[in-house]
Amino acid sequence: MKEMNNKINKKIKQVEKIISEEITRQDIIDKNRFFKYILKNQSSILSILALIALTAPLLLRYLQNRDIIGGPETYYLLTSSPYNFLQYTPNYILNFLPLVLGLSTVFLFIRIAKIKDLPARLTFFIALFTILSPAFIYTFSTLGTYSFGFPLLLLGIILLNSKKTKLLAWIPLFLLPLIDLLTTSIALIYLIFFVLKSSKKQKKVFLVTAIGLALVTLMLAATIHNIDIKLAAGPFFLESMLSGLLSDFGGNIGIGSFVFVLAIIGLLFSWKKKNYLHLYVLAAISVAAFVYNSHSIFYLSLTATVFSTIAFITLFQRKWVLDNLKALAFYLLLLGVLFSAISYVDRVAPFSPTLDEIEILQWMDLNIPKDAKIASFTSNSYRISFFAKREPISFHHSSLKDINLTNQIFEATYVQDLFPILEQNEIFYFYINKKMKQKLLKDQGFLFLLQNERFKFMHSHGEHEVWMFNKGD
Amino acid sequence: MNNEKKLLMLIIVLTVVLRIALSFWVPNLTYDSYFHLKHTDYISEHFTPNYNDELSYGGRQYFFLPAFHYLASIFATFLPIELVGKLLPNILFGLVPFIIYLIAKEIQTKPSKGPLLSALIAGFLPISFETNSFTPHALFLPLVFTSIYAFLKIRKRLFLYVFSFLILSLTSSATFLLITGFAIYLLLSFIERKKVKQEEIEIIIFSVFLFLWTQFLFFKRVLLEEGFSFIWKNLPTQIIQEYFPAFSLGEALILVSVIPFVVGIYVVYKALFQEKTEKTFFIISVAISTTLLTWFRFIEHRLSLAFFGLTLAILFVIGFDELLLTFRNTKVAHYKKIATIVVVLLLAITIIPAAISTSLNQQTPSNEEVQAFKSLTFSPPDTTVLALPEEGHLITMYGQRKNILDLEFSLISDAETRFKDSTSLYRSLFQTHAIEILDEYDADYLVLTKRAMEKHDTTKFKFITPDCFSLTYKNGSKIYRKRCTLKLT
Repeated sequence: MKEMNNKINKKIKQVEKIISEEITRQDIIDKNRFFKYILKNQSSILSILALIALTAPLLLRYLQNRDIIGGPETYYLLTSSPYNFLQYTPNYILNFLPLVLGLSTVFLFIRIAKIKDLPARLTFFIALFTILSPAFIYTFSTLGTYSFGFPLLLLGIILLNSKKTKLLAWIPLFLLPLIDLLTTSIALIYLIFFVLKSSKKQKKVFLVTAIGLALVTLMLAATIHNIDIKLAAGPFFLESMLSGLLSDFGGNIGIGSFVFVLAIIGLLFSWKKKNYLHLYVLAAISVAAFVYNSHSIFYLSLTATVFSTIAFITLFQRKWVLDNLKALAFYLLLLGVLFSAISYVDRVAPFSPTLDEIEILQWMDLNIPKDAKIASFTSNSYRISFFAKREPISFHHSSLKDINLTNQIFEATYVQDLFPILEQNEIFYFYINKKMKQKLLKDQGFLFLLQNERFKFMHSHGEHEVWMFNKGD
Repeated sequence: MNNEKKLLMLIIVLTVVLRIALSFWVPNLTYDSYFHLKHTDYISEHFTPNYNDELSYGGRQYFFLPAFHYLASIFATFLPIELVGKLLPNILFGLVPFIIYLIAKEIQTKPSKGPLLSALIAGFLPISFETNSFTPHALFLPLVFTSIYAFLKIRKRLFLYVFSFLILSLTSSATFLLITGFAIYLLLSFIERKKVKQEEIEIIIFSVFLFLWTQFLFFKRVLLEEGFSFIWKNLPTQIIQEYFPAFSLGEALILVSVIPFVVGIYVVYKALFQEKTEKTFFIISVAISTTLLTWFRFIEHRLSLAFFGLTLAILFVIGFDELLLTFRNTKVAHYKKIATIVVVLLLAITIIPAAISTSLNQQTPSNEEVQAFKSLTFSPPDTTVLALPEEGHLITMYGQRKNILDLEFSLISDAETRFKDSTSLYRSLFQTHAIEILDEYDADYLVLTKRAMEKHDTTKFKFITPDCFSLTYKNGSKIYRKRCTLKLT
């Protein structure tokens, strides 16, 4: 009987060995020497990749004579508290700040993956898809709330999980409410989940941190009025929710289409699995935040990246019936994600103004009355506010009334319509840049009305102009 | 060769011969064909597609999927381009009855003559009997059904699937129909708790990403600039209704033909709510996807109707088999052969005349009109010419001159204004208004064809006077040269 059992056990082991060999044979990542090497040296490879992805837009801007880290959010941040101290930072430091923050984010993520003992391939592909995502490239090639908020969140998580420095985690985590409430809520959710999961000793620290974080948020919101606490900053672009969702369909930040489709597959794969509950909560919050404010796509993009990695790994780890198709699909997907990222790098550069534009905006600072309101497209408002130090009529996040006022001015076709609007709202200065000239019709509408004698040309540089409107009698 | 194969051959030969005969009976090609003819000609000369068209809209960038043009350019190397335009689409369409026959054979439950009838319907489907149309749809239809056939037998026909789907993705963005069909197939399977085969999931995932990849490769700029509205090709609001009209049951009945339509709908209903046959599930999903995309106006009306009609032709086999089965249980069962002949006759009577009528009613330029556009080659080389939007490709193809507008509106920022301005000239009474518009687009020549006269219910440009416009050509169509310009004084 014993012999029989031994024989059966031996047979079972043999079958298990064959199955495991078969799985390894089918697994493209383990089978490929190149991928084996990448997984082994993932920290350095991911850092190099992040360096390339984040330096490329900066380099492009430099070559196109643009402000290196410029973008609507950068100028918004540099003119609002508590970040406005950064205005006084030397340019050579400021220009590299997003890059440093981006690289730190990658390092911090790899550290968390090690602490949480995530499988190497999961860590690698989450990081890879994140680095190649438009949200990451945008966030860490300009300055924005998430360029500070996300690394702080990761740092807080690392410190909370280490034995000696648990209490130090309060510093980065308690700073989060100053940045935005969305990042703070995500930190709170993390803490709640880990309070539920952790041991008694850990529970205390997590609980205190969570309560502390909530209190700090409430206190700041209630008392310090000069600090503008928001769910999320922005939006900084005018776009519909649908086009804003996908970068390949014209979204200024958005999610890459390949990652988006993969994320849906990942969601279907992981549906109803209990260990993904925290991911579903994160997904629900990110979607709600995105619907509320399209600029909070950063966290939605991160969530999509995680789900897409789940799909990617599940798909290519399993045995395919159509084995010949597997490798083809694998490389098709990787190339698709890469293609999406490369095409985005090309698009992120023009978010920043050219040096010509900066010159004319600085001229406005010196030559236009301090209390003057400037009429221009809403997309120019942040650069007007930062460089010209004047008040634009509307920002993207302004009230609908202000945005409509801008539209009324630039859509006017007759002086009888335009002049009363300008006089009533005391708008006497206009900033017209190259993009506006391309969008507005030459022979009718606002550009045509500029030929009226009450408009006076003040200054131009490159293809950008400043005009004045005479008050009249 | 057995009788069935002989009959199939006969259907294919009849289809091709009738199509080619009609294509030569009707003069020239449909208006949109000249765009594709021009690009085929360019590829046969330069081996690369021309994405920077210097003549269309006075010079513009236009991206298109080039597989059909490459295929046609192979024939254009040894045949005159107009002859390729008439022969190739009709020969390609000759493949459709054969593919439909194979699919019908695959899904039929019992051996019968049903697949032959499906082939007959497919061959003479009225909506697809546009014999003078030289467009990528001619390659799209055989390829899409080849993909469907290969999908149904994916384990054996993997290579055929990958090859046909790749070429399909490089032929027309309407491949999206198939992708939506896959999505609906998965959804229906989930609702019906039917287990989808793993190989089907694998091929669907592969297809989705291959399709995305090819579309981004070619249409990156269009997608970025036009976003989701790229579906409507930036068509001016005045003509969007022509391309994406609201669904009309009456029109569908005529263009798809009554019998296949009624039988097809019955089969879909029965398969969805009663029998739930596994093999028809995918075909039904494709039919639903076409209906939905047409309903929401996401796909060109005529193409979707052609696709829908062919899908119903496949499903006809199930209806026919069921009819035979019912017939066998009646007292007149021994008249089975006569019943089949009656069905064939009914199909022939309802389909073939409608198909011939579709072909004869195609909108094509007359020989005189083509001659008028050819005469534009004698005008100065940098000339810009005004004509109807659909005649824009004739200006660039035969006249080799710039046009103000044609039917490819994608990436044209002022498409709407151009359309309004050029249309207003056919009604304008005021010379200053006309000259202002012509100056704006730098246009020197105006073409007034018989079609333009009929369309705008006029016999002349009302603002024309001999001191400002000279008549340079008259032969049914008229061509005027502008001699005045507006100046600020």
